[in-house]
Amino acid sequence: MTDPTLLVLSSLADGDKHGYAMMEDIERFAGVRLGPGTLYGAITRLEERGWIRGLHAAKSDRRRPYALTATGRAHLEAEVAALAQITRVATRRLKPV
Amino acid sequence: MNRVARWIARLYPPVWRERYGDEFAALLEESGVTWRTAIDVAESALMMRVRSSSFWIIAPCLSALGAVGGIMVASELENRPLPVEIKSLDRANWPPVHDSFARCAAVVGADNCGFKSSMPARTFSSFMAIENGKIVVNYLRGDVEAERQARALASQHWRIDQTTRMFGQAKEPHRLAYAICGLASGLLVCLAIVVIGHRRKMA
Repeated sequence: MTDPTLLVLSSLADGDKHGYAMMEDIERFAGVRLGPGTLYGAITRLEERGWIRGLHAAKSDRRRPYALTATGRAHLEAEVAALAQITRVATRRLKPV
Repeated sequence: MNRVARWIARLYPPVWRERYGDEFAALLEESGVTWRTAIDVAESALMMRVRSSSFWIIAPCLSALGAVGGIMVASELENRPLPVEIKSLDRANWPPVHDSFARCAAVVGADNCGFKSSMPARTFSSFMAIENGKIVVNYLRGDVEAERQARALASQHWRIDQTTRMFGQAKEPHRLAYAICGLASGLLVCLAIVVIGHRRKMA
């Protein structure tokens, strides 16, 4: 699973994060290092859809944290459920008969 | 490398830079910049441009860029070799020295070797000329040595000397073909970007 938007949503599911923190977190849980361009491409799309929102950065910090919105959380839950269903079926079918 | 990334980040549309520019620069500084990062940023910037611009603005720009690239490649190409033909002439039809000299290419060289060595295009028993856009190697009928030389000459690739332009320019339709290929590939790249951008937007 390397869809950047899903990775960003998953990263924000347990709390607000800024770009670099997301990058590190995604690398930790998915083993994928997103490039800055890919990450911000995903952030832009997600913010346009209203699935995440930018928070106000601290005055001395240029890094803006992002938070998951209610719509974003609902979308992530739906995606995860669909993936879980696929995983269940694939696992069952892979079992030796 | 940071300077390269900052420069590439300028490729993003102004509206995007205004909104994300500061935090994006902070991320680049924090994560460090490698060639991989620079390529990733360039690709993303291009996608943002596509998302924020009309196809009809990007398509002509990329096509023109492709055409310019095609022309640049074409201009670096060696001239297309001219077709070579061997002709034997009777002594009766052998042109007078001044006439054959006037018609022959005084300086022609083997293609693909540049003009490293030029050779006299006329000897007593053979001469080279350009007739109807073709190189013709003439030799004296019955002269075995001249025929051997003529065949050796004809087996090489020949072109018109561009510096003397004695016989005018060779026809080079392949240059136009390269420019058209460049134009088409620019258009294809544009279409590919639009399709990829659209699929990403849908993702």
